[in-house]
Amino acid sequence: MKIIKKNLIYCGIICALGIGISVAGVYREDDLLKSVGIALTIVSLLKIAQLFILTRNDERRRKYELSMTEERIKYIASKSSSFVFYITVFCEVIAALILLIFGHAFAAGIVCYVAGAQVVLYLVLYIIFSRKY
Amino acid sequence: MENNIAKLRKERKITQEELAAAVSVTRQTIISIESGRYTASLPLAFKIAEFFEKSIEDIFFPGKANNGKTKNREDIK
Repeated sequence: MKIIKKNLIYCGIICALGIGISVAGVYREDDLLKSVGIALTIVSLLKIAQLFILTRNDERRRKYELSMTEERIKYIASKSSSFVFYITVFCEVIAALILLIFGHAFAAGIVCYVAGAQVVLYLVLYIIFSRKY
Repeated sequence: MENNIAKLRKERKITQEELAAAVSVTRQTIISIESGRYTASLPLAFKIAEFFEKSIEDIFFPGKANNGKTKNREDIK
């Protein structure tokens, strides 16, 4: 039940954000903001509805909580995150190069700083975790 | 890592779903462990061994993948 409550809170926050973005989009007459806000709101409301339905069925709730916490799922998520990190840094470097080629040196610099900060953060966390474990 | 979970399970006429429920994992995890695609953690290996009332070494053993077929410990010796 703890996991479902946590997910409900998370979806509630996303829903509130979605509503906020939609309102901002309406106020600024920005169709993109409105669409993003509406999409976030709808998706989070659907997820909240799904979670409420789960709470009514013990067996389904147990299977859902198991699928969220079991070790193989955590292993897969960890591996995916790791790959995404490497691919993201690589893409940021490529993006910075492309921006430089097209004469956007300032933007390229920002992208490079972001990539650099990610790598430094990774190294710092690696050192911390290697001492902890 | 190889294992003979599938063999033990069939001997005792237990389904993958039942084993999964007994050791608190999903059926997909049991499938992955049996096929050798996923190596169970130590706590999970202990739970599986306890379920079958055997030692871990009787269930899990290092071995070369052989088209997904598991080997007995005697074959490796």
